[in-house]
Amino acid sequence: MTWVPVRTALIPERDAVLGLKPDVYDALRTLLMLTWQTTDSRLLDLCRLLLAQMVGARAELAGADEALLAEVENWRSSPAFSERERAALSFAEQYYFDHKQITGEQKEELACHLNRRDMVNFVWALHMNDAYARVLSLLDIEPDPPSSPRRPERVRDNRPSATASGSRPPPRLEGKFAEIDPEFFQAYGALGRIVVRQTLIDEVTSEAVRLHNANHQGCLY
Amino acid sequence: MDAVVAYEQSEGLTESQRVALRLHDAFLIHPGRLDAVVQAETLEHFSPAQIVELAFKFMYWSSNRPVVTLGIDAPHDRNRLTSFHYTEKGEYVVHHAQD
Repeated sequence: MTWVPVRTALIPERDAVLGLKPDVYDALRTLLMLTWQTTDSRLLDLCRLLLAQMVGARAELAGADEALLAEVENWRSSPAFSERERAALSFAEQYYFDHKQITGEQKEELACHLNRRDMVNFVWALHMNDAYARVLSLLDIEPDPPSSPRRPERVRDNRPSATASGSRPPPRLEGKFAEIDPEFFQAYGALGRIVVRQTLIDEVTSEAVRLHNANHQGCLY
Repeated sequence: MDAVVAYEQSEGLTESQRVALRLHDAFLIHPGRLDAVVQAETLEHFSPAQIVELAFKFMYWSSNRPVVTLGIDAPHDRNRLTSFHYTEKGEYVVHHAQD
């Protein structure tokens, strides 16, 4: 079980722990649901499982098809995957270890199968799933009880209710973010606005983490 | 930035800030192998809700990874350090040179 002391008697541990920050958790789940529609859901699912294996996110692996997990774990030698899927898995694996070391060859290999817009949305979808798996792993969240219903954000091809209801999509973006799915970008912005308004962690500590992250990630912002 | 990069040696940070950065290092490098000492320190310095808030902040700040990967990151101003703030609604406002 998680090392974070919470009461989990009535609800799955994931909801009990992450629900300590309910507004962030809700926004994150919406964003994760959107990732299924902004990129190829089969590619994302394979890469999501690979990331969960590498990061040790047992909550993400529970309930997955055992045979598929074995193939994903041995994707380099497995005949189960197409060239397109292998290119995505190779990219995802390096993304996990160090995104700054993704080679030109790995990018070109993926670009043979995805156009620029698809590549951009694949990377963002991959990233959100990587970050989520890291949170689950860091807090050592245990799998949901077997009797639990499937999580909407973990079901391929599921859509957030706002999208499913046919509400008007946001306008296309411009500039360097022009290729990102506008609905995803809107949800990502909403998540960010909620995260930065959280105040249990003081501003100096938050800023220290932000700078520490930027230094580690090689970000120029 | 120097204090944050060499945070273990920095006198400008409190112990709880150093613990937050140790936990962040685990998130960045291998979250599934969190050191028992860091785990205990985290529980000593932070409440459960604060720990989850930290984890969510780690997650959100890490979103510069896709930006770097896609080659679309760039400084706001190459000639100076740019400051910014968040509004009450959480909107990101950059302070440009003329501000």
